[in-house]
Amino acid sequence: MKDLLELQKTIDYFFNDGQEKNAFSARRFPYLNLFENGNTLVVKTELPGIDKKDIKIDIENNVLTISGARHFERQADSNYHRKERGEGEFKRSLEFPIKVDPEKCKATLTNGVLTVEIEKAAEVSGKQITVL
Amino acid sequence: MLFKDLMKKNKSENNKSTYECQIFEPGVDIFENQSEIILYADIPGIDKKNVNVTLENSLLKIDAKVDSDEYGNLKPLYTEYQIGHYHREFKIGESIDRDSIQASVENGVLTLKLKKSLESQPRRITVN
Repeated sequence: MKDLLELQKTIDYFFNDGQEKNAFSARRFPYLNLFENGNTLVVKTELPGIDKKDIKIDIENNVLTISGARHFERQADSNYHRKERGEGEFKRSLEFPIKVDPEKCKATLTNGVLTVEIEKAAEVSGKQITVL
Repeated sequence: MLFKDLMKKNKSENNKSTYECQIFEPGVDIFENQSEIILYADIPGIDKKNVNVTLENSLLKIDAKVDSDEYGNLKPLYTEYQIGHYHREFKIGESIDRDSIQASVENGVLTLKLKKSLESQPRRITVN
């Protein structure tokens, strides 16, 4: 049964292109945007209501992984009318199309948007080979 | 491809002052207890100075305008989500004390606390 639900979520993902309907409203796999700014690659993702201490960023083998969790305080003696905002753990990976330097990386969280800036790796200089 | 594609701009290049852009409906949680109604809305990417909340004739309107300046130098390589304004309206059944509405924005989440006016709060009447 659990597998079936996972399958449904995957199918929803493909058919609700860009629209958060059900599976993605929980933001289990947050959407990413990748930009280029000169020598820097910039990744942005929307993580509203998440404290920066609950966000983990890893870069390994040119793959960026952003993970974390969003938790809400329980509203004591309240009834809810709507509950549309998802909570729980999330995780998302992205392979950079260009080789990056993981040492030159900076991450900021502003107004619920995480921005990861990472410099492209220094180009390996070309080498001429003489035929002996 | 520049940022304006993210905003779904449909106007010509030289008309930069007015552009069409997507308007999203933010996801909300609404709680109610005896004395107040609490609303949380996800509005990532919006600075608090660009959030406008109005309550008129029991119609609560939330407007949040995105500021696209930070995308000026960024060239999109791969995009999955679009950026736009947020708008949502609610009809509120309870009567609200307008003077004590609290609104705050933190980490891309709008929090609204609407205190019910005294006449709509439950009151226990002792039978003598």
